[in-house]
Amino acid sequence: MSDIIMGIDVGYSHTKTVTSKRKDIFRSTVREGVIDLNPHAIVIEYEGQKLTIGERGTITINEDKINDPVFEPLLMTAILRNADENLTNYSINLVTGLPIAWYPKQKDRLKDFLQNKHITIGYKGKDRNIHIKDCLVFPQSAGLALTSPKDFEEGRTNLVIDIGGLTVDVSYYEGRRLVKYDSWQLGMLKFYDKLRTAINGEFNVEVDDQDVERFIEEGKITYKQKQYDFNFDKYFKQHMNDIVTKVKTAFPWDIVHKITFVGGGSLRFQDYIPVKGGIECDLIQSNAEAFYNVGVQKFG
Amino acid sequence: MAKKLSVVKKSISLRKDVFETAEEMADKYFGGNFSAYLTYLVCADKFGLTRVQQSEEVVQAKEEIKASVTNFKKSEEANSYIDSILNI
Repeated sequence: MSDIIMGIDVGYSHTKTVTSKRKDIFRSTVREGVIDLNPHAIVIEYEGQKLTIGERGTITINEDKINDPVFEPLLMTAILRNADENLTNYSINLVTGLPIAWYPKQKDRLKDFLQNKHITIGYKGKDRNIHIKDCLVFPQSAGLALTSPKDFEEGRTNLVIDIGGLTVDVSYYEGRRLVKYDSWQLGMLKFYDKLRTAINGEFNVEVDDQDVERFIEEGKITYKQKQYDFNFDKYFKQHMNDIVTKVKTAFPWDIVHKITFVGGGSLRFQDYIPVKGGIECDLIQSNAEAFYNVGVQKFG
Repeated sequence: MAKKLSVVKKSISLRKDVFETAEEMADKYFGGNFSAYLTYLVCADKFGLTRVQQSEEVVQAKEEIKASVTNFKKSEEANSYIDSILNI
């Protein structure tokens, strides 16, 4: 049985995986039981209980990954979705991550929690034995220096702003040296929460984050079978302004060579990002790609 | 006879101006077949058969990104960077 290298970014909004063969993404939700109506739903059997992953379900915003009850099911689902389903025993060399500000305090505990873990999960009608043989924990938003080394040569400065599900992670580099970093809870879930409150107040309804996402995509609010205009633009501008103000007060802004916005939230906010000319990369998968590359370097 | 590949039907949402542009292109080059135009765009993105004029710099930058992600090569430089981050 050969070891498989996987880079897995268990985000608060989506779980992203990069392996040598593919990239994968699914929504970071866990729901007890099986949704019979959807034959394509991801179902796993975890600790004797059937869980539906990636559909409408629980999103947690627990800052401590180890004690977050959805973290392990999401991580194992990511492994199973991206391993050969004809096999039942898997040996994984895993690289996963944490928001950069929580990284120094939590990295060792998370590594100890995952390293040499043996677990059996039911998936697609069979028990699958997963062994996480080795594990590294790498901070989110620190991976661009690996995927774009030329931009991080000596004498160059970079500000990387990762708009994730829960947090906005910011890191400032001089050459390849990480000089300063911070995380704030200004991610997409916080943004959706603001919109949710505004929509619920204006239309007297109870919508959730996934309804909000759909309304944004449609550019309208659907209410009692009719569609209504809503000033999404105002909320997007306000939230981006909150992020930029925080970053500007804590980091160099006007004097850096490149400011790069990454993360799934940056895709949603792309029309509102106030600077152009950042490093080109896969906005959604940038962390998982970096984790995978760390795995290739260390385990390959 | 070659086996026919299965077709997936999905609903998609597009911004109005994007849709109008896409519809115009589909009418002009694909006899109004919107799916054919989308297929062309996806294949162009995947295989690089794009008619969109790109400067050499842009093409070069895209190639570098692809290479760095899919063909990441182990190096002393990458190793020392990773170690510096792991030791924060």
